[in-house]
Amino acid sequence: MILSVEGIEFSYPSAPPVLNGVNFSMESGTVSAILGINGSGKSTLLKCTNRILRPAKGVVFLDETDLHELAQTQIAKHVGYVPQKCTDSRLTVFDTVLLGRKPYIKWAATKRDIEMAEHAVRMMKLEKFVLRPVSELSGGEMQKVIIARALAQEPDVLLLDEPTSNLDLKNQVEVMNLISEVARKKKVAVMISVHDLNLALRFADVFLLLKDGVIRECGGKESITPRIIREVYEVDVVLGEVGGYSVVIPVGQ
Amino acid sequence: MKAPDGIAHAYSAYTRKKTILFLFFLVLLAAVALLALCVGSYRLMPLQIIDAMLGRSDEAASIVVWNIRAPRIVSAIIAGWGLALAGVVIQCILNNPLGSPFTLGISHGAAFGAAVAIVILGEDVVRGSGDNTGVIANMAANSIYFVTLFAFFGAVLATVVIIILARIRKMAAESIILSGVALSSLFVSGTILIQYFAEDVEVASIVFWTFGDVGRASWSEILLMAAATVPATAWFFMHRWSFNALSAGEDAAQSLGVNVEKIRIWGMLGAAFLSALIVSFLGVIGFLGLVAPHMARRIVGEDHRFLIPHACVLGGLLLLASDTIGRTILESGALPVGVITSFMGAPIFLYLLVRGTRR
Repeated sequence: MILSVEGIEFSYPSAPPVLNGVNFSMESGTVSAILGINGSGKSTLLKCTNRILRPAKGVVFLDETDLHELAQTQIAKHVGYVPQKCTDSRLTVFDTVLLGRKPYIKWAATKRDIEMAEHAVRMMKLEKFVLRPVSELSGGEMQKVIIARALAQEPDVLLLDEPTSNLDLKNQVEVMNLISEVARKKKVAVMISVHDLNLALRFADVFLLLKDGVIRECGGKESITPRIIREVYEVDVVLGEVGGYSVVIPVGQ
Repeated sequence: MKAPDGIAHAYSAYTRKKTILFLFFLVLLAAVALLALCVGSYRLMPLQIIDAMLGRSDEAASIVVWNIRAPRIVSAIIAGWGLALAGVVIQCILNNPLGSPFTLGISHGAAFGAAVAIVILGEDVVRGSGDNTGVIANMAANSIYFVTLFAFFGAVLATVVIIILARIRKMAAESIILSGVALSSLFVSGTILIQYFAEDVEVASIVFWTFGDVGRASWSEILLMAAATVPATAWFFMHRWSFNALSAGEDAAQSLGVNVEKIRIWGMLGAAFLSALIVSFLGVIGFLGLVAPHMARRIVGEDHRFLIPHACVLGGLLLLASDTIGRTILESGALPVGVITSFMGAPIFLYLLVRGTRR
């Protein structure tokens, strides 16, 4: 399964264009990281991919299917989305995860819906919280609930908007590990917008560097160089390796 | 509750409890309805009521049951049910606990419309209140409908303003609530201005109209309210999963397949027109649409699969209980139910304001 984004253009009302013809593709079983400075259009690109925002131009194909031609419910059966902000919901953990079955539910949740929600709960290791309100959980647990909700959608593509931005180091690693596991085991194409370059280098397979509404670089780990980081982030860095993992260290001003 | 090995089982037990609770409230509502049939200035025993229902009782008992108490009981249940339903939906759509037909200015819009009708048409509309008729009706039935129609237009005017502000100006939920407060103030000022230029009897009529009284509706009006409330309940309940998704945030709802714009606009329109219809028949019934959803939320949580039915039945229960208290508390006559719901609702409204606007 391949997700292809072709020529996406988007502007908010009375503002300069945020996306200026974005092209890329991603395969199932891989984790793609979207990198770029604040306001570079990372979140907008994710929202344009599953038509939360309607791009002015461009198409999104899932294999041969034009995603934007589908009804929102049909898109939701293919694409799961984890927003940047988790709403402080009073719904229980299981109710929230079960909401991921919304695109499939006609009147009441079926046995299969319950099973899929239960499976997602187990995958995110949330068993002991099932009947607790989401609002009573920690940031890391809450994030896992929202990922579980997206997994319950049985998506082919999973879009995550800065899922680690409010998490401590332990939870960052745990959540990213779970996301990688989902991509590999479930053969889901994962696209994740992230600020932490080291976290991205540790867990992602493909890197999309976004600046001024276009992708400046797209490729594997080899595409992350001090030159491209300087170009996108306007910061000098050195690239090194610690314990077998690539690391980026900012230097100078 | 821990349920590592039987999540589905634990969840099923959890939802079953809520269903049982709903059935309990339904039974309680039926019990209060029976009690309301019995009590009043003309006391009846349950057996007498059954006889009256079966047409085996004397004429007085039959009149009390069929013409006085039963219509106001059914009217209270339907109106409470409908106003609570509108409150739940408005609170969800605006993602704000202060949303209700009353706080959005819909009720005061109706009162303004009624005042315009009473003064401009020069009619005296008050029909009296239940068992103890306090004000004499001296108008043709058609002119009552004029007042109802004008009240409905007033409520619709408030609704349209709110929807325009919400949709075209894309105002935040908090701003919409504040706009509702401003709109209420404007309609109240307009009503006062009309009263200033009105004749004494017209002022009395306006004042009595704004009191809110479930004893005002005839069987045909009750039927009309039911004709709006039943399909509205069905439509909102059908979209309960969408309302749950909406409470997770707009982007999340859209990513779960909800057509957010559609559910918002139809939800607001449905809730506003339902409350407009009820208020135009019964007058201003303050705070019920605010209080009942919050009570239900405390009991069953945020899940709209349970919140909607619980809020509805609690709305009916609260209005019926308030009306029954109102017509039995005073020996001299019935206290309008709007007064009681306002007394009950205002402290809760203040509590919500103090606690903050987090839903």
